[in-house]
Amino acid sequence: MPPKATASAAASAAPATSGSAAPAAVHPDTTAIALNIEALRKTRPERRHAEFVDMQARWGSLLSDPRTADELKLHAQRLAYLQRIRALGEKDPAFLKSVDALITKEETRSADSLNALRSGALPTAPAAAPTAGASK
Amino acid sequence: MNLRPLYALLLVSSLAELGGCKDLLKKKDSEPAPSATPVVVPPAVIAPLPTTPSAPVTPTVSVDEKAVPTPQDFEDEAFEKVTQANFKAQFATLKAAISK
Repeated sequence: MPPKATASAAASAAPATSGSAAPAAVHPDTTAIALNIEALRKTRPERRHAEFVDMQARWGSLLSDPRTADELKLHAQRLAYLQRIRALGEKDPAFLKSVDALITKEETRSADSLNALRSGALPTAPAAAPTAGASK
Repeated sequence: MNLRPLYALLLVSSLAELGGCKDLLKKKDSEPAPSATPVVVPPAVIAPLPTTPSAPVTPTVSVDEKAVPTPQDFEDEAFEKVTQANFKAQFATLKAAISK
């Protein structure tokens, strides 16, 4: 099964607006090699670093806030799954469009959640670790 | 009729009136014409502009790069769980979860 939201992550998706976070598209490098796991592994450090730099520019010290850990993990898992799904469904334009729309929706949801935490709209509550990927 | 005393009185009163007029003239002369004396405007004191402090430098909080999860960390997992056979089902599941 795909990654599931924890209670805290689901709750944090509700308030606030997306603010500064613009939905990011799937990284072009990732798209090009999405079906080749060896290529993905080979380029992973560079792509990961680039991703981190983007995240740090967007969220700054919020990344080190323990309250964001669950949300960041959930979002990262979901994006990885969606990128894999996108790569597999690439030949179907209509499907690709709907995957892209869902990626945008997930980006917005996650940004709203993090913005809510940043603005203090949500109480500090230790959350359970998200149930990682799956059983299928 | 002897008018001498009357003339003398007229003369004395005329002189007195003239004296009064002279005083008036003197007063006018003593007052300075408004435009004659330059108005001394005190120089404007311009306070020096406060030196604008540079924008507060927010302390850079170091974030441990390895501690921040990224999609790349889950690529192997996604590769294993999402296959050609189930990717549409996985998509439907994710769509439902994200739409909650």
